[in-house]
Order: sequence, then C-alpha cells, then structure tokens
Amino acid sequence: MSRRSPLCLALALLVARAAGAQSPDPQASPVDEMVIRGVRTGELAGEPTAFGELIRTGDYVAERKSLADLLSEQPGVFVRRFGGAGDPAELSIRGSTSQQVAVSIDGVRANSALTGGFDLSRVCVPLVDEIELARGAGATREGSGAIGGAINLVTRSGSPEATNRVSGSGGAFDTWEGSAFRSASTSLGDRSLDYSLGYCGLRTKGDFEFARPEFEGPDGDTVSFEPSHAKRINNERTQHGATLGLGSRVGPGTLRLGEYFSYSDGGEPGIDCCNGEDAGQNPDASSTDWSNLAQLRYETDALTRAHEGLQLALYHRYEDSQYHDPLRALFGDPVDTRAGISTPGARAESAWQLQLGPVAQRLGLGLDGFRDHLDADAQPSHARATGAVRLSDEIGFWDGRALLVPALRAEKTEGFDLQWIPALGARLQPWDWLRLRANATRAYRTPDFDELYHPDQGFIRGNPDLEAEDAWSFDAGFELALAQLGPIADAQLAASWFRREIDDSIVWVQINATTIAPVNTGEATMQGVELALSFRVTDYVRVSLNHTELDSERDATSEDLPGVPKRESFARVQLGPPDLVKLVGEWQRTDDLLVAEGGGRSLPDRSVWNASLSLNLAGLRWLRLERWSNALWVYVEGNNLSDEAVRDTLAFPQPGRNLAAGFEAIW
Amino acid sequence: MRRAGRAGAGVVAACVAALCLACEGSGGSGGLVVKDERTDPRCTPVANSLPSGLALVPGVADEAVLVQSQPPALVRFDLDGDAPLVRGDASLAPNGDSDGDGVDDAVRSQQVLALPLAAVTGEVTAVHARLALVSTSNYEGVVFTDPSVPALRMAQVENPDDAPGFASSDYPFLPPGGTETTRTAISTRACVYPGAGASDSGNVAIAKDARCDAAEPASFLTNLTAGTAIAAGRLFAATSNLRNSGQARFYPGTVLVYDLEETGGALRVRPHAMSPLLFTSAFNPTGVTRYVTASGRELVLVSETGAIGAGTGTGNVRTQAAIDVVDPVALRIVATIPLGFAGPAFEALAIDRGNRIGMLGASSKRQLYGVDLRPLDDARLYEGDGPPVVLDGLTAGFPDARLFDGDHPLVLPEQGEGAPPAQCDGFTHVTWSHDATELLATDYCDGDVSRVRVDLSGAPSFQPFAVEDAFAPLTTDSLGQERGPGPVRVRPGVPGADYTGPDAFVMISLPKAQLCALRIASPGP
Repeated sequence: MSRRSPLCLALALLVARAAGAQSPDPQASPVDEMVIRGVRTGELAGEPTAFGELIRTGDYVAERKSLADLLSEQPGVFVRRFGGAGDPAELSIRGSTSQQVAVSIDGVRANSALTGGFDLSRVCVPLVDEIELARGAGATREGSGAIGGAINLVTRSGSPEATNRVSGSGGAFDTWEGSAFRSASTSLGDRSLDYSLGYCGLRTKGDFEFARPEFEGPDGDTVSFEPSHAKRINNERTQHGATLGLGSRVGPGTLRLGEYFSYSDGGEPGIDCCNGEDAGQNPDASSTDWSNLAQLRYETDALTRAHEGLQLALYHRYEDSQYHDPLRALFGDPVDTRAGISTPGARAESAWQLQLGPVAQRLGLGLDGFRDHLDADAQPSHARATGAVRLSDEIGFWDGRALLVPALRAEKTEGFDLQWIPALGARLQPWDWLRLRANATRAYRTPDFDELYHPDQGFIRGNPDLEAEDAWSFDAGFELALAQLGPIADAQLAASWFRREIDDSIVWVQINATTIAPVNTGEATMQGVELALSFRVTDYVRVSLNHTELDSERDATSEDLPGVPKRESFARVQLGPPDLVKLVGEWQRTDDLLVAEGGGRSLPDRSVWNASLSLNLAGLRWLRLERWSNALWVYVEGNNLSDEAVRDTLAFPQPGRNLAAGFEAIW
Repeated sequence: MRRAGRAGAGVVAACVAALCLACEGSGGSGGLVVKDERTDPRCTPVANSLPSGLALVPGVADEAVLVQSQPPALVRFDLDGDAPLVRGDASLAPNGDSDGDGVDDAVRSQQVLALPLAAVTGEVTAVHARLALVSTSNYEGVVFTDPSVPALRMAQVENPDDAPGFASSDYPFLPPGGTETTRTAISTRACVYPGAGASDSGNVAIAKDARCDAAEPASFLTNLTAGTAIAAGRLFAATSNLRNSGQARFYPGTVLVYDLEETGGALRVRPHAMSPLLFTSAFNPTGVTRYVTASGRELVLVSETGAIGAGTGTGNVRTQAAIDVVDPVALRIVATIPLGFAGPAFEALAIDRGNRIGMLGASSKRQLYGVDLRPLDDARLYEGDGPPVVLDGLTAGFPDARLFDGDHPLVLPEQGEGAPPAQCDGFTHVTWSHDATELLATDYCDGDVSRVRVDLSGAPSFQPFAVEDAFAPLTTDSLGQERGPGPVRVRPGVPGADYTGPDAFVMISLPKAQLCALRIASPGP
C-alpha cells in the first residue's frame, strides 16, 4: 500500500508491537499498515469510538466487485438482493431495515426521501474511492435514519497527480460493464484547479435461469412450482453513472464542486409467483430512475491556533423515479407513475482543539438543514424541512490512550417532535496491541414520504399518522493486533457485542383482509456478536474471516424477526504477489433465512463460493508496459461456483453460477 | 519471467473461455427447498400465504380439501388428528396449464387477450367424494378434480354450434364451435352483452369490448370466477366482473350456465346454448349454493356482495347486496332477497342441516346476515316467467325472507383489544354446528370464533353466548402470531361419540397459509 490515511496510521498503532512484549509508547513509529485486504478495522473519521470499517475499492482491483458485494463481506452486515447485476439490493446492519441505515455520498445523505432506503445497485464502484461503514453508530452525525448504522461513499476526486483509470468486463447473462476516470490538475490563470471526471455504465440482459421453490411441510409433504426451473424475463437493464469534481484554492481554504449522477432504466419482472414457463413474471413493466447530487463545499484550514478548520457546504439532491405497468389495465388503468423529490440543503461543521491540563479536548459543532419536496403524479405534493444542531466533544486522557466522546444532536423535522439524540462513546487503549470500545446512543427515524402518503390504491396505502421510530443502541468490544506471531503477520482479531432496542418500528403489514399499510409496531430487540480475524503469511497468503451472530425478536411475542439470517460467515483467501497475481477464493455461508413473520417458513442455509484470478500485465517486465501503465490487470472470475439456489426473499431469485472476464488499467 | 508468461497466457485463455462458454448455471441444480414448520400445534401450514378455498368432502367424514394459491394446488387433509394431516396434493396448473389444453395459460392468454394471465385459484366446491370444482381467476375457469386422490379429472369440453342467443366465439378459450376436446377445466371467460345503455356499479357507461361481437352496443369479458355449484345436471359459476379495482367498480354480475353430465366417472361439459348466462340482481356475485327445499325442489342460491372496496367498515360497501334464487331447470332468477348495504362475505350460504336458514358472513363489519329459506318452497315463485319476486315483505302475498340484513345485522359481540376498527372493522365467515344448534363465526380482524346459540324450534332465535380466543387479533402486538381466520367448517358427526378429534377447522392466512383444528364442541383428549 502506497497511501496512508490517518485511519491507517491510527490502526498502525495497534500493531506497532508484538503482544505484551512492549510497553505502551504512543509515540512509536507505525509499522507497515496492517491490511489483509481492503478492509481496515480501525477508526472512522468523526466516529472515533464506533465499530466500523474503511473499505478501499482500490484494494479490490480487477475483481469486479459491486457495492453490494463489498458490503456483504463485512461483519454485522447483510445485503438483501433482489436479483443479479443491476437489480436492486439493500443494506441491513445488525438486523436493521434498509431504511434504518443512513447512506451518504461525500457526506450528503443519499437515502431516498420517497422510500427511505438506498439501492446499492445504483452505485458504480469504479467511481468510489472509499466506503466508510459504521455499525450501530452515526445517529448524532446523520440524524434520522441511522438506527442500524451509517455508510459514507467517498467518490474519487481530483488530485494533483494525473490519474487515469479504465475498466471493462463482460460475462454471463450478456452483462457488460465499463468505466473511465481521469483526475488531474491544471492551471487557471494563477490558480491551480484540480479536476476529476468519471463515467461508468452497465448493460445486462439479466436473463438468468433459476430454481423455483419447493415447499416442504412439517409432515414431509411437498408441493412445487412447475416447471422446477424458469428464466428471468424482462430483466434487461441499462445504467449510467458519472462524477465531476472541481477544486481550487480560494482564500484560506479550498472550494470544491462535486457532482454525482446516476441513471437506470430497464424491465421490472416482478416476483416469481406462478406455475408456467414464465413463472408469473411481468413481461411488460418497466422503470426508469435517475438522481443527481451536487455539492459545493468550502473547507478552510485552521483559522486560529485552536481551530481545526471550517467546512461549509451547499448541496442539492434530486431523485426521479418512473414506473410503468400496462398489465394493471386488467382491472383499471395502466400504471404510469412518476415521482420526483428535490432536496436542497446546507451544512456547516467546525472543530476546536483545547488542552486543559492533562486533558485534550476536541470540540465539534455542526449545523445541518435541508428541505424535501415531493412532486408526484399519483398524490398531492408534500414538503418538509429538517434542521439540526450537533455538539460533540472528544476528551482524551493519558496521551490519548483513553478517549471519551459525548455528543448531542437536536433535530426537528416539520410535522414531528423535536428529537434529542445523545450518544456516549469510550475507547481505551491500555497497550498498543489492544483497543477496547463501548458506545451507547439513541437513534430515531422519521417516516419516509411513501410510508406517510402512499396513495390509497385499495390494497395498499400510506399512513399519515405514523410516529417516528425510536431506538437505543449499545455495543462493546475489543480489537487485538499482533504484528508478528511465528509465520503469521499482521494478525488482527476483533470482537464486538451489540444490542439494539427499538420501539415504534415501522412495518408494512396486512391491516385488514385486503389492505397493506405501514404501522408502528411494538418493541423489538436485536442483539448479537461480530467476530473478525485477519492475518497474512508472508506477502503471498492473506486470509480474512468474519462471523456474525444475530438474535432478533419482537418483545411482545418473542417471535423472530424475518428477513435477516441468524448467522453469517465469510472467508477470503488471497494468494500470490499482490502487485502481480491475485488468486482469490471466497466463501460465504448464510444461515436459514426466515421469510415469514413468526418464523416457521425459511429459505435454506447456503454456501456460496466465488473465485477470481487476476494478472497485472504491467508487472510482466518483458511486456514493457510500465512505460504506459502502472497497472494493467486482466482477470477472470466465477461467482456462485457451486450453482446454489440463492434467494434473500422468497419471490426474488438470484443468478446461479456465472463467469466474467475483464480488464482494469491505471496510469 | 517465463513462469509469469505462462501464467499470463493461462489467464488470457481462461478469459476467452469464460466469454465463449459463458458457463451459466441453472441457478440451483440442487433445487430450493423452503421449509414450513408447524408453529402452532393445532395448525398445519401449506405453501405461501393466501389459501383461497376450503371444503369438507361429502361422504367422507374425516377429510377436507384446501386450495392453496401458490403453487396452485388442491391439498387433501385428514382431520382426525390434533392438527390436520396432509394426505396428498394435486397441482391445479401443471406446468402452468390449468385447463389441460396443452398450452401454458399465460401463453394462451397472451394469444387471445394480449395479456399473459396465469390461473389464480379461488373457491372449491366438493360435489361428492370423487368430484371437486376449483374456480380460477385471471385465466378464468373451473378446474375438475378428484379429491379422493387428489388429482385433476379429465372432462370432455364442448363448445356448441352457434344458435340463437349463443355464439361459440363468445368463449375464446373453448375449442371452436361445434367441436369438443379433452381438458381438465372449462373456461369461464365469456363475452357478455348487457345491452344498450348499460352501466357499471359506478354508473359509468359500458362500452364495447373489441374482443367481443362488434354489433352489440355494449360488451365485456367475464372475470374473477367465484363460487360454483351443480344442480339439475348443470354447472353454475358466478363471475364477479370487476371493472376497476381502485374505484371498486363492477360490471353487472353474471352466473354462467353449463350442461354437465357425469356418467360412469366420465365428465362432459359445455356452455348451455339456450341460456348461457344469467345477470344477477346485484353486483359481484360470489357465493353459489345448491339448495333443496323441503318439498324436494332443487335450486341454486347466489349471494351477491354488491360493489365493495378493498377497505373495511360501512364506507367500504358501495351498493346493495342480494341473494338470488335461480331455478336451475328453467334457468331464470325466480326470486331475490335484498340484503341492503351489507357487503356480505364471498362464501356460499351456510345452510343448516334442516335446510331452513341460510347464513352469510360480512366482508366489512363484525356481523352476520341470514335469510329464511322456507318461503322458497312456495310454488308460485316458479310459475310464469315474470321478473324475480322480491322477498322483502313488500311484495304482495310473499313474506320477508330476511332475518338479518345490512340494516338489521346479527352483530357479534365486540371483545376488547381487538383490531383497530379504522383499519379492520370485521370480516366474518360462518358455519353451523353439526346439530344446527349453534353458529360458529370467525372474525379475521379480531381473530376469534364467536358462538351463537340458535333455536329453530319455533320462530328462529339467535343468541351470541361465547367468544373463543382462537387466534390473535390483527394488532401490531401480534405480528407473527397465528391470525386472520377465514372460512370455518364443522365436520359431520357427534363430537366425542363419532370421533374424538377436533370438530372445527379454520383456514388462516397469517402469518402464512394454514389449516387449523379447533375443539369447540369436541372434548379434549
């Protein structure tokens, strides 16, 4: 790794010495980064006590990972997919719903104000540099929605050194992907201007074959869909994504303009529901959606001695979604709806360093305000404004070995009560090789527009009387890091326990025999354990493993919550000199998955194997490519090699075994 | 260097191979087994969450058949145990072909209607131990099954030649006019001509359907096949004819009439060429019941909900309900019993073993409706061919057959802590106890079973006297528990004497489709 971030430096402190052999020495020089793969368990900016990961997409070069792939490999995270490439995928952290995870792009909230969730399939990984994942944290920074946790996608941005990236791949189901990115700096008069431009695209027919469910009753009787296999139809999709970044020094700071655009258009096959060759899929429905996020950000250096800097941002997010279904003409008019949501907002953040005797403090102040405006064909327009103030402190003792982080956010959304979100985190690092953490925080979520105002279509409607969801999260754990232990190097073991108590959780349920609507449900509890282990044996063998145990239930009935597995395990082995050849094998086991409230109906457990082989042609000196490119990777990969029947929900199949090949060049 | 070169060549070769072969899997060569476990010792789950029909098998005291929606199947149950035991199932649409014409329903529907519609299962009528009729919607039809196996039954399906009042082309899913073929179902998709100036339940004029006879001023295709019955050698199938679900508008209701012969185990069925359909008095005919009067006259009773929405409560009922009395020989509606703004449930009338009283549940309220069937023995009803006699007490010389209607329902007592009325104000199904001394009524909203004592020794009297907390109410605190009871059946025989198992069987739909066994009158083990 050539790049070192503060996170990595902090992490390096963990592994600076072998276990117990050294006395604490916070000034010790960091050793080489402890990175087994692209995930760094350490400290997230702004969330120093949170359990989280920083995922660098560059560490997965030539592996064609989607955002759903990268996140699903993390402990505590479950990604619910509704198909293959280009099909929707949503995120669950520690048993949360997708609406209970705050997703930001370059610090600006990207959750849909219409549905509350975030579709991971709409993000092009080649345009993303880093993914910050905070589990069970983020409520005081992000406000409404960060009940399960938060992720921030940091897009690739301009840099003083010119960088060019191109990638392309093709594979099963007529799936083609490509991307191009350039960042550099240029002179504009006497000013230096950083810029970046990125594009990525995906086109897929998505016509994968899938196995259909066979239901086995308690007395061994079975009933099956016929035929036993079907092919996904009307599942073609085209996606485009683009970024633009401009940055220049202005006065005491840097002014940056960032643009993130995504577009997606394709068929909507719907559910696998019925007997017959097409399995009841919808051959004609389609959807188109696009979104644009623009941000103008000004970041200053320290304005005074104690000041750490000021960040001011103006942003605007627009999302537009259209859905067309001519088949609904059977009992009414064809469905042809459009909804657009415009969200202008502003944010300010600053911090000050204070030293009070032996106690070092970092005081932070943040202000945030935005307004969502919904304009839709099928319902009246709605708008609501939200404003928030955040205060935080980072109190360091014993040269930073102990850190206490209290924070408080006050947030008010039109139509809902003022919410106070307190949080307290603690981090203790008695030795360089051991770090302990604990957190307690409140979180909440205001209902999204769809939950409140979904038009009454008889069988489905919104509920304008919904209350906000309310939750308390607690977690504690440790990270143990060993620089060298026999042949094993850079070993890290992390374990965390978490518990979340949520009330008024919003669930779409059957409210009478024919109507589904969202309602505030009673109390529910989720608790579990996350374990992660990673190490390397020489530079040629890198191993990482993680495991999550999750127990979730409704308090009133003690019934399990559906939709998330009780346990999930992941293992990855990477062989070969990392700059020349990568042979990667991955295994993910997912436990039985409840698909009905109250238990009793579950999808079977599964083990999915993936593998890839990548070669950096620029590393082959006899090809003399180094004059042209730092890296020219070619690769072939296979996913779901054992051809498992994979589903995260009962009615949405995922692809079986599939292969792809591609290249990625960087110069 | 050489080693690296070989590795590079290997990777390139692999890439090419991947692109060329694509090597796509079948998405689960080992299949995908979804396990359904018993979460309530009284209940046995079946696939998915929308069971659509339940019937006891006549002549077989300890068996019932249930229709599950997805995958579409008829499931046979043994009722003797503490929980019903599955004894087998039959696919109702093998490989997507519910009528056995050799073509996937969706494909055939696309060819005929330009809409790829698959069969969605509905009601089941167990005619006798070897014949049960299952109605299907979207791909409209009545499927013939043998519940004793269970299995599909073959039938000779005929489309008669054109005749006055009958056009074979009005049945686009039947074989060509004047021909017959072997199938497993008969299509109930038919062109209907309500006449000039006809309007739907929302008073919106009915235009021409391009798929029907262009010479007719108004037309539509039947849809949502509901209840069925066989009487006088004829098959009667009600079609709801929904026009717009969002606005709860219905075309005029129809009952399709077919000639049906069953000889030596062979079935033969064809549309009745002289009178292929009847228009019902009210919108949305759903329940169809064969009824024999005390004097032995065979009738067909059709219950019609009127136009109703997809909500709950009084406001959900848009037009008036009725029960039509059909003479299955003369093929005309001889009488109608108006029920007012009742919005009855979709089931067939529950008739006591003395053939005296017919009861209906309610689709939108926690109440029941009932009619006295004795006036149907009046021979004057069947004389001539005039309009139906309205049995509301206002027609001279005829009694009021209504016991409980929309204005005067049999209200089931409320329990505390039920479903919020604004969300679920009641949805009831009703049946009689084995000796006709009690009514048992389930309420989907509150999850309970109400018991109503009935005295038929003189003027009928009804007295609710107990409420059994059989299932959980539809509240937010009960998510995941057994809820949403629907149709209820009581097995024949004296509990404790003729059998020792549970006596009442209820189909529930939440959190998943299940058939549950209750001991209401049957003593515990």
